[in-house]
Amino acid sequence: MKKRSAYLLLGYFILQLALPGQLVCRHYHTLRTGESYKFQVRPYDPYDPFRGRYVALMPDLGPQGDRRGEYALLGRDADGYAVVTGWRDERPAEGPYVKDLQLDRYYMNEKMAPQAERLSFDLDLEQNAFYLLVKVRQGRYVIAGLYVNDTPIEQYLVNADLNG
Amino acid sequence: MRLNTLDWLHRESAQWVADGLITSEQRALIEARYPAKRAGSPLLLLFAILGALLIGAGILLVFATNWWRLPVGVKVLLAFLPLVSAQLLCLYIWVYKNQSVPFREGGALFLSLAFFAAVALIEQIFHQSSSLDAYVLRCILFTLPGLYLFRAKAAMAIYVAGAIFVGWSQPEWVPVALTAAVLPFFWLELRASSAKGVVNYLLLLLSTLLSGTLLQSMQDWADPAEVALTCGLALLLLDALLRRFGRIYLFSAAKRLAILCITATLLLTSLDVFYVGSAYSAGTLCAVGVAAAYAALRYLGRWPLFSSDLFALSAVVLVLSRSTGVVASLLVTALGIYYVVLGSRTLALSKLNYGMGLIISLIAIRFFDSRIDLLIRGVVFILLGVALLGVNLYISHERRRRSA
Repeated sequence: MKKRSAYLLLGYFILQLALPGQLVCRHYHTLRTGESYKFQVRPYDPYDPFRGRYVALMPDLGPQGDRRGEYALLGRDADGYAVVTGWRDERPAEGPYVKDLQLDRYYMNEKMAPQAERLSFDLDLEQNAFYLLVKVRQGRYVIAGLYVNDTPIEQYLVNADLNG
Repeated sequence: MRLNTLDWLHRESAQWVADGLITSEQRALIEARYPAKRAGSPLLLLFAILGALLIGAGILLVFATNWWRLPVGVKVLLAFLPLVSAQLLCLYIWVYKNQSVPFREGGALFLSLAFFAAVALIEQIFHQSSSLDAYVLRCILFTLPGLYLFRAKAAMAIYVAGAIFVGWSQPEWVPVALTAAVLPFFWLELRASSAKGVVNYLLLLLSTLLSGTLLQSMQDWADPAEVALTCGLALLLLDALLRRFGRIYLFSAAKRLAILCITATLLLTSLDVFYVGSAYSAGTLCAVGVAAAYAALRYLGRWPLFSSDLFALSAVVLVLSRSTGVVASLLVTALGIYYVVLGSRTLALSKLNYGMGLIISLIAIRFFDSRIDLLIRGVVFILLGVALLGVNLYISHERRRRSA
């Protein structure tokens, strides 16, 4: 009985490690080997009680609505930024695509998130590039970073702090 | 024999020798008869844990300041660290401390929270945008087997709170399934408890429903904190009435709920999240009125002071001080220290845990207090932890020196 319970406990531990482990494997691989796409965004700063402060993003993904379970077809505009060229209910046979595209949050620490929000209002977005770098591989995607003029936003804020 | 008693014996026996009552040889024989207890004080152990906790939290805050600079691989390792530590601790408890209820409860609680933390950190590292409902649902489902394996009520409370949170926004069958999954646990618990335990469960449920209704009906003309404190005071009054009329076995539910109500309000007020009450609002008068009735009953009964009075006093001080976060924090600190000292002196585990719980909650609140800079919080936490451990080491050293 005791031995059986011990197996149950070990099985439970493995199951517990499997969920975050599977999340890591999937995202890490995409992050390392995925193709890069830059999505232009405008951030604002809300709060998630468990996962902390994040910058909520409003990318231009074409016609909005509930797109869960759908496939977004990806392309690039004349400036090299990513655009969603269409949505499909079924997996596309060719071309780059991602499933369940939701680029609506970027986590930052509680000091930087409000600064990032203020920055987005202060910056002239016509003159400055504010974009999200996304890695895409086999229909999956991972956000690699939020950039201002090709500088990671965290570094940009630190530099801005140092320069007063 | 305790060290301070030994000190007394050492001084007195020297006097006895000086007075010629006993010889030096007899004195040595008497002292040899009462060796010093080498076991460490539970209070020292608790403060050592608290010190380590403060240092750990401080290090986390310092990490958080520079989190974005760390490579993804390092962040992932750090995310798994609490979960793996909790699993190792639970394995140890399973093998060596399986009969100890506090160890099982504590281990299962740590494991549940560590799982929540690991998933949250991984989702944060990869900027995943799953909904809060989906996250909580996933986490409570993965904590469910732990409740049964460790028969842990504290972790069960997290499951139930999560199920209620998730239940509102899901199709009807989800809350039904989540409730059904935990029913065998309740059945096992009720089967193991006496009739008194069943009555307490039911009374707690009834009191919760009544308090909720009262909160609902008062919310238009009183502040939520005042309403919660009034509920707490009313429950203390009920507890005093039950004591007056001798229904002894009904006491604990009303009193426990009152303590829960007042403690939760104190902690929430220390966050400065609500409450801008005026000293003369209807809610304040209501709270003071109930407190006066309670005090009158206590005075007429001529009973000696007991723990409920501390909570009644805290509630009244909070209401009358127009509750700033500072007053609430001071009250929580005072209650926490009082219960830790009381619990360790009387070896009452529930009091000790309650006091520790209060202090840890207060630390956790300041941990998440975004008004203070991350780095400053981190450094203050580390310094406090080092100071606590330093005092601890000094006292242990002194005790060893005196017992040598």
